[in-house]
Amino acid sequence: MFTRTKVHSIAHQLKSCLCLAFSWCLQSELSVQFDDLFRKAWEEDVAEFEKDGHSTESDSVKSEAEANQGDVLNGPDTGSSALDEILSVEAERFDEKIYGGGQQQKEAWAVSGSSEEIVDKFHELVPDMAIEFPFQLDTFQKEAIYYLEKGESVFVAAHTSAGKTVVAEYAFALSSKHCTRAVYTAPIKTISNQKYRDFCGKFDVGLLTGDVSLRPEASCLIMTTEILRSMLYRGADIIRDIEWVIFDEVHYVNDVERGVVWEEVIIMLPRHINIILLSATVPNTKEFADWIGRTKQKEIHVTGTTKRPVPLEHCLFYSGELYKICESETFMSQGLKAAKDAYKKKNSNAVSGGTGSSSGFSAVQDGPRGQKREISNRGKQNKHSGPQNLGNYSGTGWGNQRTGGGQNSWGSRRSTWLLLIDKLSKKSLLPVVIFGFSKNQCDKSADSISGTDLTSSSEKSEIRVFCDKAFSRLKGSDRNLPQVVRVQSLLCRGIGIHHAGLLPIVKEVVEMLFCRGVIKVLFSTETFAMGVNAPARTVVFDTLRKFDGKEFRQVLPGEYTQMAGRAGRRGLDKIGTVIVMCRDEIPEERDLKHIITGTPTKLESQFRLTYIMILHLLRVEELKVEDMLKRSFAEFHAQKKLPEQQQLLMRKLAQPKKTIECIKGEPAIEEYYEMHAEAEEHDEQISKAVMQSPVVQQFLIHGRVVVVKSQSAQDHLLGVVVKSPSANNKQYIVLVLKPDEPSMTQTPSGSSNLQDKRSADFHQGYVLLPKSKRGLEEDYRVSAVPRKGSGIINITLPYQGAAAGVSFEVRETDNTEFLCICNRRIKVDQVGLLEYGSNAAFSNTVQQLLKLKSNGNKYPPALDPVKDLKLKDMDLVKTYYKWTHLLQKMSENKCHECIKLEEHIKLAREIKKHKEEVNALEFQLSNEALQQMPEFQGRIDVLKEIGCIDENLVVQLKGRVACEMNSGEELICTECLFENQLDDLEPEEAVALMSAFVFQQKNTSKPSLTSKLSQAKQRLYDTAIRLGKLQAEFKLQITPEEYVQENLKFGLVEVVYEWAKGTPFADICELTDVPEGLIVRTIVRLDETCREFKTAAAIMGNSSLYKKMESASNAIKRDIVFAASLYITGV
Amino acid sequence: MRGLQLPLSQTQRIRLQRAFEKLQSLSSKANSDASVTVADTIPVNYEDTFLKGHGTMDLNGELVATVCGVVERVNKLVYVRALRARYKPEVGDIVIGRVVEVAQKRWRLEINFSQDAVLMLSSMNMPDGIQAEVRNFQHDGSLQLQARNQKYGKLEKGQLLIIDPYLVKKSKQHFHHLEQFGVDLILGRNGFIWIGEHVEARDSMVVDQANSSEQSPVLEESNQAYTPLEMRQTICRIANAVRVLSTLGFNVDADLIMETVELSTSLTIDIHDMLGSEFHVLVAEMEAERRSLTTKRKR
Repeated sequence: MFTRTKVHSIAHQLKSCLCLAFSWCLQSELSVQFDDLFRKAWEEDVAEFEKDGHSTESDSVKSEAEANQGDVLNGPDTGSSALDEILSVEAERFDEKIYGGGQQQKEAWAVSGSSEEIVDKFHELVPDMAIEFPFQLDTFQKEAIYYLEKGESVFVAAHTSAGKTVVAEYAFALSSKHCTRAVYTAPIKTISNQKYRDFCGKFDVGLLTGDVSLRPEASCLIMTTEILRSMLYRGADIIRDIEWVIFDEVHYVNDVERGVVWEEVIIMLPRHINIILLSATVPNTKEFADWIGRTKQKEIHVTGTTKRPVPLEHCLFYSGELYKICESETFMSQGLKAAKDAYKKKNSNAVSGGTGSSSGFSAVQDGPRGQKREISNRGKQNKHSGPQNLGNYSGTGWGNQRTGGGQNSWGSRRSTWLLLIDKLSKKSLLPVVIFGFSKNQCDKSADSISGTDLTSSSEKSEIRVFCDKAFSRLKGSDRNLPQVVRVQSLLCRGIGIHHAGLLPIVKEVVEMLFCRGVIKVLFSTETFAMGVNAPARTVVFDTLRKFDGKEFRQVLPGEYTQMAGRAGRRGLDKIGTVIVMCRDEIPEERDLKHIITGTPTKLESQFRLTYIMILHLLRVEELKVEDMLKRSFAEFHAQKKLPEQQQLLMRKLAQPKKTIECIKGEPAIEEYYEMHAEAEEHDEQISKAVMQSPVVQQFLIHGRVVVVKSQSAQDHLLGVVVKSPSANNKQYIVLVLKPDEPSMTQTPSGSSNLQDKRSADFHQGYVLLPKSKRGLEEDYRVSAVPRKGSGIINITLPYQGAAAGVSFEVRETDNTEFLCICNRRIKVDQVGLLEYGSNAAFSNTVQQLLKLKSNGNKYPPALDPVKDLKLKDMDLVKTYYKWTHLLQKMSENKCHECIKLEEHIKLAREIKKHKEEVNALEFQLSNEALQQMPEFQGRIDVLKEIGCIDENLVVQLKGRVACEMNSGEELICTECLFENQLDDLEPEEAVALMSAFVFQQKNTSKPSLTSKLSQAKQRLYDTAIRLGKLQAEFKLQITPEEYVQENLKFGLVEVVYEWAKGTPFADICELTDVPEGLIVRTIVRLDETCREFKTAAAIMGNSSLYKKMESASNAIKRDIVFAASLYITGV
Repeated sequence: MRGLQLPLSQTQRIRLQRAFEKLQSLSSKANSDASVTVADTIPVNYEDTFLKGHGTMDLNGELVATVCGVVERVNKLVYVRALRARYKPEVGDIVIGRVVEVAQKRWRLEINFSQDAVLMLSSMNMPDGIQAEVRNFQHDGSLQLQARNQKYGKLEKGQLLIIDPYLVKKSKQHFHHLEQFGVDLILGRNGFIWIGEHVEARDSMVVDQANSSEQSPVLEESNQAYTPLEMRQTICRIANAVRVLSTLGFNVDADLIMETVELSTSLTIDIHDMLGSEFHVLVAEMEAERRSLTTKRKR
């Protein structure tokens, strides 16, 4: 891959070469040199270039340059200008390369830019298109196709219906041309079904999803991402032939549940496969592409457009009027203002009026609010407090209003809808998709306007014929299911519903009819916006708040864009209209602005480890889990910095190691330093806590022997308190012994505070230091000491001297400077010392101190912190002991007396710091620094504990079984199998119990179970709890109860049991409040689980279980549940 | 002694016997009653529901073994792991096979299983290979083999040994590169063991873009068809070490092989003498010593 420097060098060479040639041309008008030189310069670099897959580009440059060269030869006059041109062109081109894409980081894998020339010369660059499109291609499409032709990976980010599919189609065409294969993955089964139908006529297409497998040998395969993942884990043969993998709707990476699958697949794709990523507009395309490029070590060309093929116009709908608030991506506040004015006007009317007309209105007002609360229960209620009060005023009575509101709710809703639809049809803005955020809401809204009829008679007959045909594949009783009948009657009037609760076949009928344009109003949930390619003229948002499984929140800008993108049919409409419904209040401008024009959510990693991922990776010799973690998008930023850190580490390691040359021959400095550092740490703590406790004050009276911190910081001084602090002087006056430094007579190094007092009494040498600032202050303070008794301090502090062969100092200290207080007290002649500074008194005191010192220990024993100082804090006492012990040890250390101590300590500190830095860097470079590492270790331990893998991480029989469990929680499923929980159950009961693994809805009506089933259920529940506890023990972020609730949902056990026993679908729908669509989905997935259990039984070698699963699978596979998709079979 | 076919002198016999006894005493006691022969009843707790696994059968209300082997229990699953049987493939095993039939789209490979394995030509990276003798592949599914990446492929310049499959335990690594000898050692799970000159293999996950231009490294290397004598000797030495271990019935893994080889070189035993009875006895003693050490360490 080319780097910036390389490009630079090429550009340089080229320029210089051209310059040379230019001058030669002018001189001799000879072409040979130019030609040769040019060639040479190119061949050197082109050779490298070509390897990297840039041959096409460089060739084109070459040919272009050569073409220009022809001009040069034509005449010297034109030559100069032509050459200038070449130069400028080349410079531009390379600048573009350099600054457009490669420049971002030194090593950027995401490349974008230089689209103009591709567009301009598109037909030269791609002379032989693999597929011709009947329309003019957009810029980004041309660009993408150009890179596809070159065999490079592309990331296309554009709005829905901007034409991303063209890129996918071209990849299909290319792979057909190259006789290789292409794989198209989509997040949702519906999308893959639809794409299958779309591509069917054009290419040789196969379809692989969880429940269907059609022509798997085809050259173009459409599959769900999960299927591709399992193929990669298996290392399926197909992988070898694949040239392209197309990820549609790649922003699904943000999905908490399934996003990890995308990452896994991208990480595991072999290098020879080129990747095409199609995504909605996201802000961090570059970053994401960079990650993919880095993991795959290939360039990803980022292209795309933010332009919409059909521009959008955003409006508010309030009491029958449309207020335009946003047009061509710019927010218009005057529209909002107008709406607000209307709102105010109405409300003031309502408050002042309070008569018939306004109460009617307020009922309208109250209706949706009550309704909203009914749906939301937990919506933000305070937000509605305004209109609520209003209702109070205007109504005849609160209770009355309430009941009235309840009844009126649908009526009012209906009137709003009717108002809206009327308005839209007048403005010819139909068909319209109305997005609500719950299934219930959609159903009710559709029912509320069931009286309206929006279709002409010819449309009616078309719908009827289509429905009859579609539903003819159902068996008799299923055709009369309440849902089928209801939706059919709605459809006939041009009204549709679309949400996850619908039966798949009904959903497909609705989609297909909507695409035909005979459905005028479609109530739908978010799912309709996801991928299903069925645009409308207008999109309406029922509300801008949605429940996302945890809480009610504002719709995100990304979601809004996705849904709003359904407005405007390419080629049919000039403009797409997006309408936000306002019922009881006008949304804030800030919120609206954020939602409509805000940046969509970034692509973020949802990577998390799963047991099945670990097991799969452990099974394969060449993939390591650590590698997987390293390559995940989550670790991307850390990993990106690694090279730099590595360099830093190398530099650090390369630094010459400083060694301490010990003069004593026994280097103990490291040990000493450790102690020193530790002691210092303790010191702070203790001096703060101990010395400031009130008890201490009693001890610190004159004559108390203390150890005082010295300035040079390694040795500590023995001293005696001469005077304790008085009211005015907060400091102690202490006489300390100075270490017998040979340098005594010289200036003590490093202690600027020391200040000698010229005192006539002493013959020993002393030096007067220039007075520092502090010295001045001290002087002042000392002189200001009040005379107390005879307590005048006549000597100036600090006062240095020597007596009995030892030098000493009298100075003032803060109590924080005491290191420890000894248990001895000596007699001190306070007056003699301080007032007269008498020599005898000094020598007397010094001698007493020296005696203490000569007792063997360096210091006399300290006061017991517990007994004497009455310290209560346990921790403090402990540290205190430790600390005194350390000091003791330090003094015993050889280094303690060493004269080079200070110097060495400094060195030791440096060495230590260096070591720490190196260690920190090494840690960051190692695997342990990965965010998920502790999690990984925990999971490995769990797997070991339950016997899926052995100590050497080799996957055991149990682990192999767990690998097969894709549809349910792998550990619970495996454990359930190995505990033989299905043994005493009939196939029907077994499959009913298994429904707990795949069902996904939390709150359902409580199923009534047979005793055998509830027993089995309890058993399974206990197992899951046990597993949850086990995982919690190994420090995984799991609470057993939550874990069980997440993974086992027993809501459909009864339903599935009845279904497996052969009860008709209409009857089992009566058993539960779970919508039909979910039942079907669960049972379809259940079939997958049956298959997995069957494989597991084969691995375990248990034939009876195998047979049981087979019959269970047969029992549930019938009728409406397994009716084939309309997209696949055609109507 | 398990019917060892070795001409042993009296002292050798006693030494060997002692070594084996030592080994036996060291092996875990728990499993001693777990070995069964055909038609042996497997003791299970009948009140507890158990799960029949491979190699078991329900006969008149009793659980009976259908193969000779060791009873293994995982939770409630009871199955018998067969000894001295043919190789039984599992997904993800690394095996070495011998090509026995070449067809248009597939090759048949002998892999010591009851059926021949099929290797689709589409599941290989290599374009050629009629003259190929031995290839090793990853096993997958119903006897479909596949070569996942460049590591798999034709094996050249080396020796193929066939030992009992149960001696090769599944482990994290089956490809070993013995660096001090420059030798590749591949322990096929089917009991085929390959020892050959080291070939630089490329992993597709590992980034190695500099070499992307030379697509078929194996092919290129086949042109320089010359293996130095020294290399051949090393290969033979390792091969003989494996032979010794398999005759003694020890599990074959890379560490043990290396130790055996080191033992032989340290005692300056000639390659051909390695198969003599004296060396067998030595190896047995060494192993007994080693295991007693490791068990001690564990305690």
